[in-house]
Amino acid sequence: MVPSRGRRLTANAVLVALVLLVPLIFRTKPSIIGYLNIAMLYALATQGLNLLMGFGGLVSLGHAAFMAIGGYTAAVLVMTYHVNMFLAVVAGVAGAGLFGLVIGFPSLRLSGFYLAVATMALGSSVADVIKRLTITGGDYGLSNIPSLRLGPWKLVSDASRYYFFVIILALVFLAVRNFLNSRSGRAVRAVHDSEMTAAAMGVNVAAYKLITFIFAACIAGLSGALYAFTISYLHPTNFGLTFSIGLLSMSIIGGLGTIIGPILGAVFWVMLPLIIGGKLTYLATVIFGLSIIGSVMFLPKGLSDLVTRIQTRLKL
Amino acid sequence: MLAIENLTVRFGGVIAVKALNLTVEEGEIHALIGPNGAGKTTVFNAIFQVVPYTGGILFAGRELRGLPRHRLAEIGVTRTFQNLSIFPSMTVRENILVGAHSKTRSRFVAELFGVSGEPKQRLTDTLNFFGLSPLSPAYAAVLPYGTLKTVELARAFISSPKLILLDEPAAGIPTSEKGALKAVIRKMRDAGTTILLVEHDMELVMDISDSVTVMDFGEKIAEGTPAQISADRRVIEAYLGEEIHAAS
Ligand SMILES: Nc1ncnc2c1ncn2[C@@H]1O[C@H](COP(=O)(O)OP(=O)(O)O)[C@@H](O)[C@H]1O
Ligand SMILES: [Mg+2]
Repeated sequence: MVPSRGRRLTANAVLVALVLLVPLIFRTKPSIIGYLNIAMLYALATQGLNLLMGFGGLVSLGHAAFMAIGGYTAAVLVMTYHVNMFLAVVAGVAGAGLFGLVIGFPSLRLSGFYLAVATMALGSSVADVIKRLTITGGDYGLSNIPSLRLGPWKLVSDASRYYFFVIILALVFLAVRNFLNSRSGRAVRAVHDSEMTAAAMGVNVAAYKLITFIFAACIAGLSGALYAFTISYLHPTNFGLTFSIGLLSMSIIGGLGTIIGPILGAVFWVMLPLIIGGKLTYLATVIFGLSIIGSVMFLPKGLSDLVTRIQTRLKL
Repeated sequence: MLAIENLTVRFGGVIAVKALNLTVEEGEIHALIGPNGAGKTTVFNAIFQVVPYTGGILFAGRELRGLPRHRLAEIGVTRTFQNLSIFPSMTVRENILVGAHSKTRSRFVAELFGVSGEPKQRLTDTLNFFGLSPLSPAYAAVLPYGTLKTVELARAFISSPKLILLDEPAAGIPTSEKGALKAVIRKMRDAGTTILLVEHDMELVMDISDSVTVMDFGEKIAEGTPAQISADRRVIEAYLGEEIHAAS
């Protein structure tokens, strides 16, 4: 069955309408919106991780460090140096990108397991450094970070933040998709498929590996900066190896090498403990574990496979 | 166009190419033949700076030693691979566009907004040249081997290279499609691209080559026109009685 353009447009319109209506549907349960906001911030970070792993074929077990650098840079600039919040976020993104370049260098020599270990070591060291600095609040963490604002408007309510994050996520989603379909994105994918062949076609393999790391780090940095102004509290232990592995799990469950996967994985990760609820929350970890095994074995493209199947069913 | 001087490649104790001299003239189809393991692919890899070597490799008077691998496409040398190296995750169109990488520039911001543009004319011309237009949106992973061989030729040709190295283009191609392959290789040559051809199909080699170099155990054992080569005693011995037909 050939997918019809009309049906697909309708489906997309329904999806957009649903996304926009969520705050109204859960008006009586604002905490759900709060959790969805966190899920969207994680989805930003996994979007970058997926670019790196799913499309670039590179591994990072230090991805949480990029979020930490983005978050701390932006928060410290605003709190200690009274920098404009927008510029602080830009600086957070740039700082993370710079560290992406640093973490990217081992990828020029290492791959697979060895690259995983190298990025893990570099990534974990970031949390340790933050813990020892005074300006970052050290082991006490950084609290009372000002709330997100957009020019003159303070985004205090969960619903206002929700709409803001939906827009940011949609923009990043489109940017990543466009990038992957451009000359640079094709070069990144070519390097993943075969370095020697890509080089023979004129692709500077080392440069594109670094570009992939920098781009992925910038997106995670954006996620971290927005996270800081949303949660208003940062602590180094939140950005250690555990969270890096968490981000990795979200990407795998959602589906590596797909653009929608990271979003699905992050929503699943954040919402599952809520859905299970009450005393059974601990089961969430078990279900995550099983989901990872399940996606690796049965759904190589993770949850995004389910979406594709539903699309096929509904003939979209 | 290409001058290889005293090229030697060692892998540990194995000497894969030994003191090879080889000159490819501009505008010709030059075949490099020899039994399996003779060192032909290794010559390609040395040109592409993939394996360490001693000796000189000059392209258009320029010494290639030390040139980063990805710069070869830029100066006008591309290649195909013996065991087909298509990007499986991409469509035919995308595979071929990667071949144009050296002929285009990236504007990162424009790429994020999806307005960076593609070399449309180049792509259309190349698709038509190889008769691949109808397959342009198909994913490489689902196409038959023979078609992918053509995609690989197109990917190496879209950058209008001065020299293409073809490593066994006829391997795995059904006999019925060999005529078309010959025609397309000639067409590439006629469009101004010099061709260095490694191939086992002697009928094809003898039919389309302007000159032939024969290697055995890393050394050159003969060179000349197809007619001279098919009459050469050492060549016949190297192929242990394999039939060699001269064209015409
Ligand atoms: N990367 C490599 N490492 C070690 N030995 C190699 C390598 N590449 C080729 N060889 C050896 O070099 C010799 C020539 O191989 P090759 O150039 O592939 O021959 P041909 O293409 O003529 O069949 C063979 O003995 C092969 O085993
Ligand atoms: Mg070979």
